[in-house]
Amino acid sequence: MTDVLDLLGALLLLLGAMLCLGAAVTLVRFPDLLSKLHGITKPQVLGVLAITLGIAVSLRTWYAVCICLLILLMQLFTAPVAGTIVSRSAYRSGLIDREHLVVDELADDLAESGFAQTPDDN
Amino acid sequence: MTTAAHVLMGIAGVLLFVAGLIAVSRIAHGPSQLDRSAAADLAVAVVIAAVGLWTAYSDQSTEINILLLLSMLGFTSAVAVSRMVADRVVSRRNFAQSHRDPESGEAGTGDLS
Repeated sequence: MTDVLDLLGALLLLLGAMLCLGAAVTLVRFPDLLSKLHGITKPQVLGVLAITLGIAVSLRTWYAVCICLLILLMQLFTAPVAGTIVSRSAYRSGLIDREHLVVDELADDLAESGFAQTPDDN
Repeated sequence: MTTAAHVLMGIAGVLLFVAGLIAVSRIAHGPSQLDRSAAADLAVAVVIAAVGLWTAYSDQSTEINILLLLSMLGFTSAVAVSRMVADRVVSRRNFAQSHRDPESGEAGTGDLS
């Protein structure tokens, strides 16, 4: 039984490492910043879920399970903050590809409240 | 721990090493400052995975506290860098408006990187 649990924990850790490698390939291959951010969030949420599950299954103590739950909760709280602020700053500094956007609600809201995107921003 | 678990953890370590190398190379020559901050986010995720791997390998729960700290504070670098970039964009826009050439109507755009 302990061997099976150790193997399961190692498989979950391998899954987290594969998600990290996938995000790294995303950083090299994808064209603009929003798609790179899309790739970055995979190891930040699903990867941390897999890693913490792997730790909890490998260590098998209540202390480790509680701390892993806390890690997952903190990561779920803080990862969207970073993603939102980085993408907002990318939008304002014109680093995103406007032709490929299907919906651009922020541009409508900005135009409605009086802010115009000047051509200097790109 | 069985041999299969050891082998799987070794493969995971190699994958994390390659991911860390790619993240550091992106930090070194990313085209823009925000690409660098995204790469730094990935580096934090790689460090979380590596410390978790070491925790499961060594079977000691001491390092979990490092993971807790990283998951609480890992987002601050991205927030700080993007606030700095936003400040720079605003000041560049003010500079372009105050130094606009009246004949061509075109302002000198600095390199946003």
